[in-house]
Amino acid sequence: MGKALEARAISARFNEQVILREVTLHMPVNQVTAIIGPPGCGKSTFIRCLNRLHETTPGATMSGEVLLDGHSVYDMDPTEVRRSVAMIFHRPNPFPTMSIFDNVAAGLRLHGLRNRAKLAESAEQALRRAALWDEVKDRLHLYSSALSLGQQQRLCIARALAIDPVAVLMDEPASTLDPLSTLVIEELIEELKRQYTIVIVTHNLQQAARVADKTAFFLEGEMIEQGTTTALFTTPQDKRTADYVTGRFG
Amino acid sequence: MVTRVSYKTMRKLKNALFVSVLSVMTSLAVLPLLSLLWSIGFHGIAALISLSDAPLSRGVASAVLVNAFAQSLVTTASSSAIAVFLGVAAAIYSSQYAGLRVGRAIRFTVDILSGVPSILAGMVLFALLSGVSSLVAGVLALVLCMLPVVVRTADQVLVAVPVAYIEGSLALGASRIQTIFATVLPIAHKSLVTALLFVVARMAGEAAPLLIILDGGTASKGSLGFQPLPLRLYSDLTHGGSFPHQIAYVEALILLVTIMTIYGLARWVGRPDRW
Repeated sequence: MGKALEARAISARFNEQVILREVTLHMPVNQVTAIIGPPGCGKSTFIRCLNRLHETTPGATMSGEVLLDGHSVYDMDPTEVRRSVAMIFHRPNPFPTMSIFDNVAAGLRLHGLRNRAKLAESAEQALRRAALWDEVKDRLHLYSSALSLGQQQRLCIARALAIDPVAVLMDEPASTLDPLSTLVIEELIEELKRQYTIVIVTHNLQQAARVADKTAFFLEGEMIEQGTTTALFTTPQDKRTADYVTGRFG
Repeated sequence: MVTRVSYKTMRKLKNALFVSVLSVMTSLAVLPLLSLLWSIGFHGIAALISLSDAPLSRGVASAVLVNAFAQSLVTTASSSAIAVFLGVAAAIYSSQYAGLRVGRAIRFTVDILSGVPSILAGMVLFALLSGVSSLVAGVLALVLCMLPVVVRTADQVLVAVPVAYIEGSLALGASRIQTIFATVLPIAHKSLVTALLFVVARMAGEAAPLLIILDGGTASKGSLGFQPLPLRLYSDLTHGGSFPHQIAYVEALILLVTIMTIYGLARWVGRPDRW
């Protein structure tokens, strides 16, 4: 079952450079929240703050609060936070030295599961949830490079789902994929939101309009506007949002 | 039309000239190496045949050679084990844990250290370790020579592991150390082993620091004291006489074959991945 995420006055820096300024956003459970904005506006940094991945980059700092189901993630062990708040990256990054099966089982093994039968069962469930099982069930022992990019991205989704997270962050998950693979990923997001809190960063406005229940518009490190996707795209309150969603810039 | 033909001819001429110059330069670069291989191979095999024909010489020579080879093996293996253990640990720290500034400082220091002539390493240890057994001193001298190269090489290999895989592992809730052992090292292991084997091969023939520490130049002819292969080779060459010279060629041949075997192994380990 998913848990809501809430960002309160998040600011982030890389050394002296300010990337995000005082961003506050509620990301409800069983909904898809899209973060849109032009390149360099801090979208990716924002979601990296949500699972404390931002702090792993040398020179990166942040302030503010992130709540997962009402509890501050900064009071939790960062490995526990990242396990609960999974992340999918813009480019598929299955571990190249591992087979398809081992990729899905990687997270489970990291957290101590050794029983082969349970590993196999969890891996199958995760692959089914990522809509990949039927395509790979006969070649689980092959290296992940044997899969297409779209399949590799779904493998990464399966790998993330296998460790049973409560929220899933997606950083432009379809930006390197062809239209057909993008469609499969979008259908998958629609399916996954029934169980998880989903936050998706996208520069593709049509994609945000298709998959998101709620959308936030970022510009130069600030959150300009947020609301339901329909409202933000049809009746934006801020001129900058209107200019962006109508394609005047970005 | 005439202009077009002359242009084509000129282009072909220029191309031929350039290729010829390059071929000559390549030959000049490769020729010394080939002549060295030929010389050592030819004389080494000739010396080997000549030594094996005389029973007395054969007995002495095989004792000297086996002793020197075994000592070389022990010295190189022990120093490699220590240098690789310490060097890879340092490289893991500099590439995965140290911040940008500390990492840069480590790399700068290691670059300077790896440029220090190996004979200086021998000199420092000679001053510090008087009274310590020559085997230990020899191993430590080689460790001192290898360490900066191992750290730098391993650091470069580990830094080259794409951040995407490291972040993929961290995003699964893995700790830094789990990420290093489960993701970074498995991805880097082939390049790492290949690079380290090249370092070991380079050090297997290292003689300068050992010369100072083990006083190899003064070792007597036929002595079975502590003298690894490169040192024994130097000793036999500088002691005159046809017998030591024959042994020196056989030693050079063994050294060359050993180093080429390690290089071959490194190439085999570093063959393209299946993934």
